[in-house]
Amino acid sequence: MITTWQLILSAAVLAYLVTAAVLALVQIRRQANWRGPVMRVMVGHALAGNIVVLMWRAWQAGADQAFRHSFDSILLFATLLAGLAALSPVFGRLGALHVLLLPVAAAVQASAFLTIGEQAVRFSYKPWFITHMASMILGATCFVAGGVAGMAYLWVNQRLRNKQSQRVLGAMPPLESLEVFGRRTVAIGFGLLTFGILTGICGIAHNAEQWRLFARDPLVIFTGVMWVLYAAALLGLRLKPDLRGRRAAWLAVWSLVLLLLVFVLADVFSPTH
Amino acid sequence: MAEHEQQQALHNLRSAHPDCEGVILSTCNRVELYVACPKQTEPDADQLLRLLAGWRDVDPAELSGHTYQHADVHAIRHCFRVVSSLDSMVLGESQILWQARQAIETADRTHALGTTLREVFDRAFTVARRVRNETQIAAGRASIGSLAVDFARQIFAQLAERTVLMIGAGKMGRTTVRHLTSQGAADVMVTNRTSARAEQMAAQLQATAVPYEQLDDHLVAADIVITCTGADEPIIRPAQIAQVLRRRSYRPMLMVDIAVPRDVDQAVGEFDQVYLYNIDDLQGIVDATLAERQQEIAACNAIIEEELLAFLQRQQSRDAGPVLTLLRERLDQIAEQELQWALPKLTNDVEKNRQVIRHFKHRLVQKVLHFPRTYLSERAQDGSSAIHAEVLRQLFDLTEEE
Repeated sequence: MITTWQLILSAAVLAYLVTAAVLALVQIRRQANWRGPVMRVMVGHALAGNIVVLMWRAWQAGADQAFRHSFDSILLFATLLAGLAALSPVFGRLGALHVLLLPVAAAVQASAFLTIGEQAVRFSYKPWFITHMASMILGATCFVAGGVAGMAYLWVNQRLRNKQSQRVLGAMPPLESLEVFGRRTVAIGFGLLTFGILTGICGIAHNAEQWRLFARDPLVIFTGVMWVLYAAALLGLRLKPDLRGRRAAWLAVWSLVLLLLVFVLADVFSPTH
Repeated sequence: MAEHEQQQALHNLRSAHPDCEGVILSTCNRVELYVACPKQTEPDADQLLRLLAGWRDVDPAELSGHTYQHADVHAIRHCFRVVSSLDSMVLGESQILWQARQAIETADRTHALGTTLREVFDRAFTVARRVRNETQIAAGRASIGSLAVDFARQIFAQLAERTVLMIGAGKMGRTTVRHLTSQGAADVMVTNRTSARAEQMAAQLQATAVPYEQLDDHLVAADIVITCTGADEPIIRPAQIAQVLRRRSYRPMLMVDIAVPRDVDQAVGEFDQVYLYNIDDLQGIVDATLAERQQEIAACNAIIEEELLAFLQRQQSRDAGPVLTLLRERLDQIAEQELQWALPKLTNDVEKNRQVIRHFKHRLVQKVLHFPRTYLSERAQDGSSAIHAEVLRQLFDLTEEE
């Protein structure tokens, strides 16, 4: 059961993330220095708020039943994205990526509120589930970060091709950094997705009934198809160097779109997730 | 004017007018002489013009058609405008700040800098900072070279690891390469149809001269290509670049074509990995930036006027300080004299003491009023007593009761 105070705290975090996203955007357009520190403080508060809610929820549910509600998983996902945005200045010229990561983190945080009415599930296969869920959430974070880098690449590339003024672009990371970041995050995301699929299979392998049920789940089928597509794309990127640049950026963006589809499938069509 | 010439000129100024402070601001399109003197020894405009002309043995009459003069508040306003780069050839450029600082340092070293000009220039630097921070006067890039650097920095993560290839020997190409090297690009190759010219350029740019016949190989190695040849037809064509890109594993390339007519076929820009900019593209952005900066002039002028007013108010209130001290001393002196007159006259008789104190008050007021009364009588002779009487009225808040 999600308490009112947990909801209020999560809503406050959402407000902080939205404000920080707006400030980041204004800062990058107007190059005003004061907004940077204010924005960082807001992201810091948002992170702290979400961590408090997550720890509270884990303590409330008990150590063996933590993260059994979608609300918790989505909050963890938003926290990872906000954390990545907060850390982006550490990566030198990738600093401005937070401008795109913060709105996504805010959107993910907002989507957590759609799951309030859902029932929490009880697990009989806890150890596999934890690794399965952790891999999937971390993988999703990588795919989102890669997708965001891909979108940034396409935007910067478009402005460069249109020979537009560099005033706004000056704050954005260079194409080369965006490409490398996008390629690496998608590759790491793919590794985590693979691990997540394998741990998911291990979790249900002992139960023939569940195995049959999961095998017919559109989410599972779609995830399998997605894995094959990613594998082919990553192999293509490795073997065909002319795919780098804009096409690699599109791959990262499509990864993000596929991820969103998985979210929708999980929430609407999947009988098991 | 070189620094030693400025020092000599300031020395000459101080020799002719020992009470004057002086600063010479010399840039590529101006030589300005700022002078601050006490009113009594102030040189007139002709004297300063002769001084300027004397530095280069020019006829003052000939020079006078090319000079401008500002005095008092107008001179301070002009200084603020110049240091804020509103009077520069390239509006909003930042070099003027450095040049003004150099001018101040030179004047200081020559002992020609005094309190007045130091304060004016210190304030001018503050004004310039405000103008740059609060308006968009310095936003964007206003030169082809700096714009090329911006594009390079937007494409490549590290300029230091990039190879620059300059094809041709044009002046603008040279300037662009210098911008790139100032931002960290260390590996520069220069090629030209005439190898001697390439070697000459390479020596100037601390680069490596490479043979023109192996252009394709150099293109494979180069990440940034600057072309500025006098060729009548493009020297870089799409088929050639397709091969080059394959050989360099499709790593991105920035091509800046400064030549007219073009050195790079426009179709080359259609490759995903090639970012091609020609002189018209770059000039278009520079022109747009300058047009945007023009729109900021009103906002800059408002800041300058605001700062000028604040500066003048501070100056005037500070100028009044010593006068008030003198006034207090004078009144103390009068009061002390009258006290010395009154004190011996005090006795045990209270009524007599009252009379002494009344007399003391009357004498004190008469003596204090003596100076303004005499002054106003003198001013009455030249017909300006009314204005001074008005000042007196305002000083002591003398409103007539109805």
